[in-house]
Amino acid sequence: MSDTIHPTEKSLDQYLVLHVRYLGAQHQFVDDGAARTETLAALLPRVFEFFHLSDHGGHKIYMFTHDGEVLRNTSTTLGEIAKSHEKLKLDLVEQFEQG
Amino acid sequence: MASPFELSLFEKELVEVEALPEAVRWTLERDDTVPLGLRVLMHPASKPSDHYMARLQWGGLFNPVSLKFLNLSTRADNDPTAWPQCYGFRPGQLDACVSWTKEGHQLHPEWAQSGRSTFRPPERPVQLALLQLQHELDTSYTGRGKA
Repeated sequence: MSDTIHPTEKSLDQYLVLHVRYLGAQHQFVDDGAARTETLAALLPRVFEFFHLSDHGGHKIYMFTHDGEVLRNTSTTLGEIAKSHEKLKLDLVEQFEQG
Repeated sequence: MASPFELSLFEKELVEVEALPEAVRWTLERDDTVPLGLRVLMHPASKPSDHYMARLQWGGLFNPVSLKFLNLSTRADNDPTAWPQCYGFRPGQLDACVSWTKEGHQLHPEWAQSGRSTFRPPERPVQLALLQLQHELDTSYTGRGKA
């Protein structure tokens, strides 16, 4: 499993360096040229593919978190979360069943 | 009985998790009463003065973890006030009824057959348990358990 998706050199006002950590995974998803306009909804399938996850059938619920806060609005863009920062670190968290 | 591979990975993970950014907020120590066990002192981001000591024990490293909270003074595991109130945690029952814990699956054997609740063995079980616990403290904490 590679840590890097596609390292690129792009303008940092349009792109950022994205790291996504899946809590129990050994490696992180890394995109050195993620578009600031990309939404969390658009990002999710790319991250699922990397971590070999699937939401087919809606069995599992996954969510992104940033700095300990759950990002519930999936239309939020990476740029809106990162603000002026060049790097963005997200966690992908599985919502486990409660008994 | 933990396999040599599980014991080796556990030792490796104990070193690796100390390097996580979150680890500056933790105090980790081995639980030598079992081969695969640790204790960790944690606090919720919203209430740094509320300290909780979790005891994490694995029968098999790739199975859901047993989670208990210990009284900070006595280390007793039967004190509801030693528990934080978080998503799925039941201080009065001294368990966390969620599908990432052993206790949750003991209460709900049907979860093993449910797509949503099936426990997917993680690559890094110790990291998952610690980060999931910190996630719950940071995002769903509502206060200390009642006596």
